[in-house]
Amino acid sequence: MTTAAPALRPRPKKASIRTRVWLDIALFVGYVLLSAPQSTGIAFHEYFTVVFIPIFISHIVLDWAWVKRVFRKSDNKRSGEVRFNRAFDIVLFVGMVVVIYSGFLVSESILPDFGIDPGATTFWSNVHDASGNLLILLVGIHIAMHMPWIKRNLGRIRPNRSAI
Amino acid sequence: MNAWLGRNASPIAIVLLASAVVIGAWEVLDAFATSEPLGTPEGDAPLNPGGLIKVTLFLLVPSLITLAIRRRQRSH
Ligand code: HEM
Repeated sequence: MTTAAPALRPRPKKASIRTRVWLDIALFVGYVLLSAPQSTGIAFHEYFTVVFIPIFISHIVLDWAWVKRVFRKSDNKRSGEVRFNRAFDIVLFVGMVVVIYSGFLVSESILPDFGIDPGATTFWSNVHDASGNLLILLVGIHIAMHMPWIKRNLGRIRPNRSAI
Repeated sequence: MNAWLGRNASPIAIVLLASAVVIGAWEVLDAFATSEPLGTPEGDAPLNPGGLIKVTLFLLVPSLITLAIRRRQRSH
């Protein structure tokens, strides 16, 4: 039987790794589905974004400790890798916000269903297509940059391995 | 759920605020860009499952290139 270990180090109030791994899997699958409207149809593409947005926000919020650590001003002597990830993740965040926002502004399904005409313009349509396609490359790089974390933790999706 | 939202209120607020800043910046760009109404949408073309394969490949290729570069750097 495992005994005292948890008592020695009280767990910080932080999402378990297991929750985060599951959330990341949902984020990944959701992202792939969202990036292929030609396969899912525009209606799914638009309505599913509403499910995707909270998953995306949680992906950042559940790793807030990382965000705080990495953006702390006083500590600028970071490894090249951390600095790269920091800059890269900002670009990725901007891209995600832009693709979601521009998506609503070219909506053909969800907004019209609610009687709203988004007044789509060529600007926002071009922005949506360009950011949507560019993001696929960026997300691919993002996943590769975090591969050590993924390898370390993927096994934890099974309940009896969740401890840490 | 509500407890979770309460506990994470400030990170969520910061994420939303940062999103608003990004959106504001793009609205400024829009104000300067030449743009025309898009016209009526064409609707869905016949669904093509190959799109999912395309996305997966487009994710995989940059991932593999990044992993290869990381591995080289590590071995130095
Ligand atoms: C994470 C969120 C999203 C991602 C990753 C994404 C990605 C994409 C991609 C890759 C395309 C195909 C572009 C091309 O044909 O080259 C597309 C098209 C489209 N998306 Fe999204 N999208 C997102 C959110 C949204 C939202 C929220 C809406 C509307 C409510 C939307 C509406 C559309 C429409 C109407 C099209 C087809 C028309 C066009 O290409 O402008 N998207 N999206």
